[in-house]
Amino acid sequence: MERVITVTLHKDTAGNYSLSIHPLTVIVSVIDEENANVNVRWVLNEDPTNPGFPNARKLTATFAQVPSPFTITSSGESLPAAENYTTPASGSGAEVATAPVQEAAVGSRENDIALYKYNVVVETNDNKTLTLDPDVKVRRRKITRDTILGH
Amino acid sequence: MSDTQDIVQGSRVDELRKAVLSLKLEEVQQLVYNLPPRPPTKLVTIRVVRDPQNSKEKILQVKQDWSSITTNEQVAWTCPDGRLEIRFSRARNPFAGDSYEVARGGKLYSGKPVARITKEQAFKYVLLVTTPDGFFLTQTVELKVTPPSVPTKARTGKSK
Repeated sequence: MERVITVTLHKDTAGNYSLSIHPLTVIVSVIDEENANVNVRWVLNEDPTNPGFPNARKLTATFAQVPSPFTITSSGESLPAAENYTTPASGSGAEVATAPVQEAAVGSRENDIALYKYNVVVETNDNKTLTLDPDVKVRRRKITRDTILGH
Repeated sequence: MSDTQDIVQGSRVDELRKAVLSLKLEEVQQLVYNLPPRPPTKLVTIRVVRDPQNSKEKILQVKQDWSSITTNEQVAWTCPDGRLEIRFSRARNPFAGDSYEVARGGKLYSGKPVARITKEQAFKYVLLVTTPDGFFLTQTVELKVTPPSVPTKARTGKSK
């Protein structure tokens, strides 16, 4: 399954921006309870009632430390300096998705968990930059419907 | 709130929970995040292959089993062999933005075209792939966008 992370741009009438993200820590596993691969998709939303809508120009999610949970590696290959997921904003929601969570992203024991920090940057049409520092929590135990309802 | 009201509300919450948990994982997520329905998506897969003309060189191979999208559809690009960037001309672009980037194996979604399309139009764009072993490959590709298909009117043929 694809875990969705929604990033929402807010703006007040004085022109101040803020950014919210849900979930702040997304929980993933290598496979879900239906034994399907799990990956992450970021969706950029903007409230149409924001003054001057649309204001968002671009969404970028960056893992400064690689490998990320989604980095596909083969022996003998060098890792990139960082891993970027960039998409322009569009009226219907800008979206970008990762590869599946990799087997090596978390230990092999049932209770193993690994946290990966990344940042989300939204650029606006008036050249403002808003940043958040969320996490991806990878657990060996399969994610379930309850996981989605909880986080 | 009385004990009876608590029990009634508790059982309704349990019923709702059971109903939600009977849905597919994707449906639960759609419901929880109040996601809008996604437009139909047409996939483009970009592979890095050996050049048949020169086996020492690598080239991009673009796989898609469709010829055009309508203004109600979107494109998804993926490259299992390297980091993928997509560039459209800012001046001539069917979508809201002109630059996309995704790590190896990820997927980029264009969103629905925002340009006003009244007849079929072709838009050129550039694929840029950086392989893990350091090759940088590019290819110019064409995307055709057509207006939404209009249901054809039933013909009322005149009998001679």
